[in-house]
Amino acid sequence: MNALYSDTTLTLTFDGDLTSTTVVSVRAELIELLKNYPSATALVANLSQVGQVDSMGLNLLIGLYREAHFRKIPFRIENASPSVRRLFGLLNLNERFGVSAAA
Amino acid sequence: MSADETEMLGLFVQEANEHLETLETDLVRLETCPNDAALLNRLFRAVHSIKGTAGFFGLTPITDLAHLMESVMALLRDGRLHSDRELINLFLGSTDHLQVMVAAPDRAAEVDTRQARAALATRLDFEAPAKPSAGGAPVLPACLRGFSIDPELVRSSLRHGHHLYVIELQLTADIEAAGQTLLDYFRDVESLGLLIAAATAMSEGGLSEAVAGELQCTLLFATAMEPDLLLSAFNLPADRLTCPDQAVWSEWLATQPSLVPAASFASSTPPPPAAEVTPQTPQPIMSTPTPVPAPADSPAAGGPAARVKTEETVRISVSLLDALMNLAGEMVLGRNQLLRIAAPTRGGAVTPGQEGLAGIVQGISGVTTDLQRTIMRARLQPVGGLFGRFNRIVRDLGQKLGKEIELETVGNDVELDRALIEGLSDPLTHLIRNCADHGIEPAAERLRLGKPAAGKVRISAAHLAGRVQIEVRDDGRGLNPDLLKAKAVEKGVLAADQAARLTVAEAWQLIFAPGFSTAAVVSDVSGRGVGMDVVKTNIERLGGRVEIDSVLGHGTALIIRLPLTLAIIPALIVGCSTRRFAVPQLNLLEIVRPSAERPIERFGGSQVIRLREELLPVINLSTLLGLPTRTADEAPGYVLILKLDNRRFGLQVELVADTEEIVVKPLGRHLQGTGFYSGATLLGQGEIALILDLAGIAAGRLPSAEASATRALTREAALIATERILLFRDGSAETFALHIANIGRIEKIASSRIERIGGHDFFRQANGPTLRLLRIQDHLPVAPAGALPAEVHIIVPRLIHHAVALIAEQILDATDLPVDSLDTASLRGPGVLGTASLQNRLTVVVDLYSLLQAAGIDAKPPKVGQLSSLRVLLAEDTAFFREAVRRSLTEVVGSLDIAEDGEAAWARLQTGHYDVLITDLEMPRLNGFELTARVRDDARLKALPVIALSARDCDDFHAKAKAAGIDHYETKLDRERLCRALTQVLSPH
Repeated sequence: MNALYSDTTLTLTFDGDLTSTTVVSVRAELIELLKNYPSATALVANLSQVGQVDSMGLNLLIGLYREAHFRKIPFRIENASPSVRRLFGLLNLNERFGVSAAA
Repeated sequence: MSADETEMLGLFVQEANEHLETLETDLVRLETCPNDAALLNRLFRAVHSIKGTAGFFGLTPITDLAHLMESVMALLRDGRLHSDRELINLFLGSTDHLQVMVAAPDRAAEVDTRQARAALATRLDFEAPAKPSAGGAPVLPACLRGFSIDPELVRSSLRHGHHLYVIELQLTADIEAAGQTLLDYFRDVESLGLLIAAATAMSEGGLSEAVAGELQCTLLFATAMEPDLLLSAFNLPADRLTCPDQAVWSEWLATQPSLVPAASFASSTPPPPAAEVTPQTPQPIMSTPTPVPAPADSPAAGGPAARVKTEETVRISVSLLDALMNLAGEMVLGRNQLLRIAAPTRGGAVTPGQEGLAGIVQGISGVTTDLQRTIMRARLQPVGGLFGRFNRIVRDLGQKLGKEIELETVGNDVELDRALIEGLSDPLTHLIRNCADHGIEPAAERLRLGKPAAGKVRISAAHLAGRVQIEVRDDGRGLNPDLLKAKAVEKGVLAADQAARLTVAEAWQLIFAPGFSTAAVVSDVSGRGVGMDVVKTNIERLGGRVEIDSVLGHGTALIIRLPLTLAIIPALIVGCSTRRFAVPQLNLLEIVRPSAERPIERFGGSQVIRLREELLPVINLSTLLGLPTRTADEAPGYVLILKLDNRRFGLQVELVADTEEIVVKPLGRHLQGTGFYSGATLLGQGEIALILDLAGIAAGRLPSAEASATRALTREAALIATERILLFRDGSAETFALHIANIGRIEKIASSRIERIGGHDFFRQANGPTLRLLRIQDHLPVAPAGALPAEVHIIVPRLIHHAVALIAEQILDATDLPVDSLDTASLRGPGVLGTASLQNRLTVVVDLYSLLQAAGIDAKPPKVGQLSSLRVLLAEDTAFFREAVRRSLTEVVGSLDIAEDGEAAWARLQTGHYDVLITDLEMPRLNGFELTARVRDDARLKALPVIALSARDCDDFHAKAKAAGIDHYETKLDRERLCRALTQVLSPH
């Protein structure tokens, strides 16, 4: 995972699918990472490298959203693939994830 | 994009803009009425409509943002989120984004809405516990509360006889454990019906609790399948399926706005018998839900009332209305031509074969007028739409300036031509900004002044006497005339002495002077000195005018008066040379014909005409436009007396033709820069007439406009600062003038009754003393006249304690003598105050006292010697009276210093030593009362005797003079009383 802190916005770029096989380690990595940026004013998850998200991946992203919520900072997901966006749309998560329904 | 699509997109933009306008107004209102159910519904409907139509065009950036706004609004509407200022700001900011995107839909993707969307998304999670929503709107059962439900989808599903199910899913256990991916599973679901809404449970924990738990998702699903079949298809246990009571839907839908015209529901499934509508609670899964009809009283029911409603209005494009208006205009022109041709000849004879034509033409004329008025009415729009925009402006300004400001709008239903509404938008915005920035005080200051903390800006519209009056009023500081004058002098708008002469109302007008601003700090709200002059110009361009009313400390009102429409105006058709011009009737006060009695005179390089008590500047249209002018021998034509805001002036034309309702056509580009014309029109005869732009013609040509736009200077230029005099002749070629204040009465007598005794003429009055008669020619160096005619006038002076009268062979006129035109140098001598050019005649202004002295009548006051050591200071602003008092006193008192106003007198008092102060009461800068008050307050001067001289002899002034500490109050020009007062001053006891 790659973290970019620019202009108080923390952008996290995941480097693979978010499924039951990866999310546990990704979560641990995320928790450590977020500790380093307590003063971030916006949190962005970049899913450009993510091809698939399952229920556990969704759970992880919801956890990230909740984290931003606790910190009272906006959260959004960028560069999600069309199929991932479609999943978000079906589950009514687009709004919460700040995702555009555009293809 | 095809032409049809482009047209459709145009319609979308138009419709979306209307929704956005409502949205903005309602959002600001929501701040004060957060629980207004109707308001929340309207907001939701506006955003939903924008989202829906944008989706149709695939304008995803707009759809996304609108959808988020809609979702948050749904939470508000259902009582699950409470509105606050921050949220309103967020909505307003999002509305701004929508506006930008709607304005250029093809570039919507370039607008960065990420922050707004993220902030809105955050709000979705800040749900408050559900509470019964305001206005009695029913709360959905618990199983439905997590959804953001589109009522249209519910209505549509019910109309098609579908069942509505709530399905609870555990994504991992129910789907993935069975070896399916989420996307595949949902693909199957969607093949069986319509997924109306979904809600994914957002676990309570943060990141550390994520991953481990099950992810729950609830679906609201519409399908024709029976419950048992559905459960089987979804591979779900029975307890995961709920079917909400249809009564719940009916009740809920009744509170939801309908977006579909009622008529489209006509084909809906007939409602089942009432007896079949039984379930009361969320249904057990195995029971068969009954399709729910739309409630009978809802718009969806398509009842007769709803149907009629849709037929009441129809959307028409503005361009079509404009085209209709143009056609009506052409028809008016045709009508005018027809009327002219069909008019009976002068003798009333009717052309053979045209009998009855006049009646037909009259009929067509009436219909044309009605048609034109009706189309004009169709162009009218309520000003409420325009006023609504100001809510947002006032709210934002209040926040920016840290002031509490309330906006009140009155007369929202008043209708105005859309061209006027468009034209008013900018000027009104500027006025409101000014109110908020300059007018309304900060809350702390207001409280200190005993005002409510929140300032009020009130904008109102009303129809008054065929015009529209729009008023912007605040309850703030009010305009401070002294501050305005000081600023005007500082900015070089006016010279100090000009500013000093301004009345309060004239000082207010300074705010319209170009480059004028009193803001101590230049803000980005207002205060750059750009604007009020533009506001005025823009309003005048709309054919309106702006007036000011202000009370210092209590607020200011700007009153705009406008015509109802701009397209067709009544006008007077006038001519110069061979040309025809149209003058808007709105500005026309009257028409006068110059004559020998009322000539156009030249004064100080300007032409003026006397109208009753006023001299008005006159502009000659032919000269102005470079047309051939008439010679002095030809008829002078007419002078149109025109009114432009507070100014009146004359426009000399050669011909007055007719009045006509003219259709205003835009000017060609080549004529736009002249500044003389505001448009063109076609007359009944088929001629083209240019419409005169009176503001443009007056600009820089009226003496007033040269220095500033203030009325004061107009007044000065129009020479209102005059003294009233009587013009008469005594038989010689000379014309004499005597100040009216000197005249007691005038009588006409037969010359035969004049008796000559001892070289003097006398007239024996029936009831009074015998009068000694004086002929001016006997005492003044003027050409002698011949014998007296059979009848003469005698002028009996007042304020003279001798039985004496002047003989006048002819009384010419009572007129005004411009105070500054008195020439005291050219002709000197006893009996002569000076000369002046009046009515093209050189006139000798008579000094009555010295004339009497020259005639050997002792008019000197007694004991002059007593006053010969007196040092006198005279404060008098009028040149005429300065000269009169100077002549009266120069030989009587020891020394006489003259100050031109109170302030100058005060300056002289600081350095000079005087025994007495003689002061006029009404003076600029410092009047006589104020000057005396200063004297009385000064340790060194407080005992100085003060004599007031006034042309007014009223109780009010006497009382004020006494209160101010004035010792003697005398009437102007009564030298004897003045000398007596001086004597009393010298020996008070």
